[in-house]
Amino acid sequence: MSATINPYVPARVQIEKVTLENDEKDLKTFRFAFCDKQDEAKFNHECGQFAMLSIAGVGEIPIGIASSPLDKGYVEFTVKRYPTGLVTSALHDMSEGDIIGLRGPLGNSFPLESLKGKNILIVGGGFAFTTLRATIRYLLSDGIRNQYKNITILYGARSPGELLYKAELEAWQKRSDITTIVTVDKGDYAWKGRVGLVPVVLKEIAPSAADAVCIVCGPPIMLKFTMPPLMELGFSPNNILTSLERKMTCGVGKCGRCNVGSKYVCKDGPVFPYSKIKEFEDRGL
Amino acid sequence: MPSVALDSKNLKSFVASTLKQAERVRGPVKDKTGTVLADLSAKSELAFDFANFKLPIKREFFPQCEVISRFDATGSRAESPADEAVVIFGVRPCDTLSLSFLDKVFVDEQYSDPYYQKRRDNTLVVSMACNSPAATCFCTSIGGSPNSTKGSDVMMFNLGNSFVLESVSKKGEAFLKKNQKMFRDPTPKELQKRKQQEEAAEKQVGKVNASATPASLLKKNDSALWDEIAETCLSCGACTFLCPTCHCFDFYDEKQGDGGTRVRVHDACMFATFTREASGHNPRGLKRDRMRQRIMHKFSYAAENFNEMFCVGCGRCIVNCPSNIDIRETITKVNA
Repeated sequence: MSATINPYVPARVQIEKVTLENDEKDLKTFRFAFCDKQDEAKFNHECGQFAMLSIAGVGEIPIGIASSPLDKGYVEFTVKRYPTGLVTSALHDMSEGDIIGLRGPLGNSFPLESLKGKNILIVGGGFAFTTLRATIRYLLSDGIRNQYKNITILYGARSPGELLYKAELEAWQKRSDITTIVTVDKGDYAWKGRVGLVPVVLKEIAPSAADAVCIVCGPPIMLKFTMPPLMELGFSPNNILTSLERKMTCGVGKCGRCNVGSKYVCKDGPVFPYSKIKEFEDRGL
Repeated sequence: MPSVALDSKNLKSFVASTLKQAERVRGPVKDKTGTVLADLSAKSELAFDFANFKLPIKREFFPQCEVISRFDATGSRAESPADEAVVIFGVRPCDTLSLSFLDKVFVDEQYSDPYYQKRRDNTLVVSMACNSPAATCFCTSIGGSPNSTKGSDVMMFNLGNSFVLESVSKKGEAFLKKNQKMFRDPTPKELQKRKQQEEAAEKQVGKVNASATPASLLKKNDSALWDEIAETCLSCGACTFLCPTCHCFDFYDEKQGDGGTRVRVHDACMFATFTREASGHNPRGLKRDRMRQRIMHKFSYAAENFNEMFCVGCGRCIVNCPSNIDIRETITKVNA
């Protein structure tokens, strides 16, 4: 047994920028810069991974990384505040210049390397859009975009005010090298875009499943109703990738709480093909 | 290295010699509560007439409560267990077997737990074969034995007037070599007695038909059995805290002024809060789900991940459950 690095001790990061994302004011995107350049050099994440945000004296939470691996010098997370959540509340009360801890990157990632040359459909709902945003930012980067064929994005939220990353959505909609469809469950007086639930809109736009992989993240209810139309379109359960969330303490497969069956979401996930999720469901897990 | 023998009258001087080689020597001594594992001195009276310690051996390597880091305005710094050599005497084979399981959890290629690993590296485990297993023991049904050496460094057999010792690991071999002046060659009679004791102890251990449990559990995912077993459970967590293989933990922060400590504590899958998220969502919100998790983790998930059943048949959960839930009955029901 040789000496190893301590996976439980966080690196120090400083809040560089806080962006309020929604009308309900409970979703904020935090941009962190590493206080120590060595920690920054060691932090090489892939799209779909998460990290533990660590507030000394309060606790830690696992949050998906919302920035692209190619966004250098910073790392971003979008966090929803829960009144019952100690860490999310403490974080939302913090401001630029404050220092917290960061442990990671943790977990597996979307296998983007093996998807080169394929069509990619990205379906997101609500505030589960964070690691998908990291993925889209990455896929649209110079030198990366041309390695993939058609990229289609379908993103929905309850209302226009609840859409994340509004400026980026607008910019993506203007680009000709991707198809970006944004929908809301219920519009408002100013909303000129599409209205309709994600599964319904998915059926309407009917993206081809030929040589395609779908990455889908959203609330459980959306996932439940999105899987059947995806399969009707021809996506096989192995070609649908999704990401799970669980309460976590260690993030490295030891503390025992985030498992679904024999798999730990922190270590074996958070990304699982739908075929695996179906297996969990069939076993009543 | 062949077996060596130690006369019982020389046990104290053996311990005294060990005390010169290690910072801390632990062993079984009597106190008000029974036989406990305690720090030994040259004067300690070792007691070997006990079935097992009430508390599992995991606590020596993965304490119920430990500071893992300290923080202040300048950041977090890892704490490290003391740099001390430790020798533990009198560990039962079921408990050493549990260490071989915990090694698989805490030490792996991707992430290793530095606290557990350091204590494991610093500690020499001298186990003591069981001569009189308890009524609740069932180690032989689950891959263990009253004479199992897995997870141990040195194995000791208590023959009454003398002990026979055998090294199990390299570390154990070096330890016996270092203390060879204390030992003599065992007589053929001693070796024969050892063998007889081994066989007698094996026979004494209770039997449960457990080998098919991982396969049977695959068919019991959503069974009404879980409601039945969980019905009388009080969710106290005694079974998990006293289980030598249960290793779930939580972190919590203790703030003192501008600084404080991050503490690791044992946690239990039998508590509803174990998996309850800030949103209120709880993937294991029902007691039956948590009972299923505990049994599945031990006998199905561990079998899948580590090719082992994470139960050593020590019987602590049987003895200490306030509502008399008996894991042997659970195993029987699962396999019925």
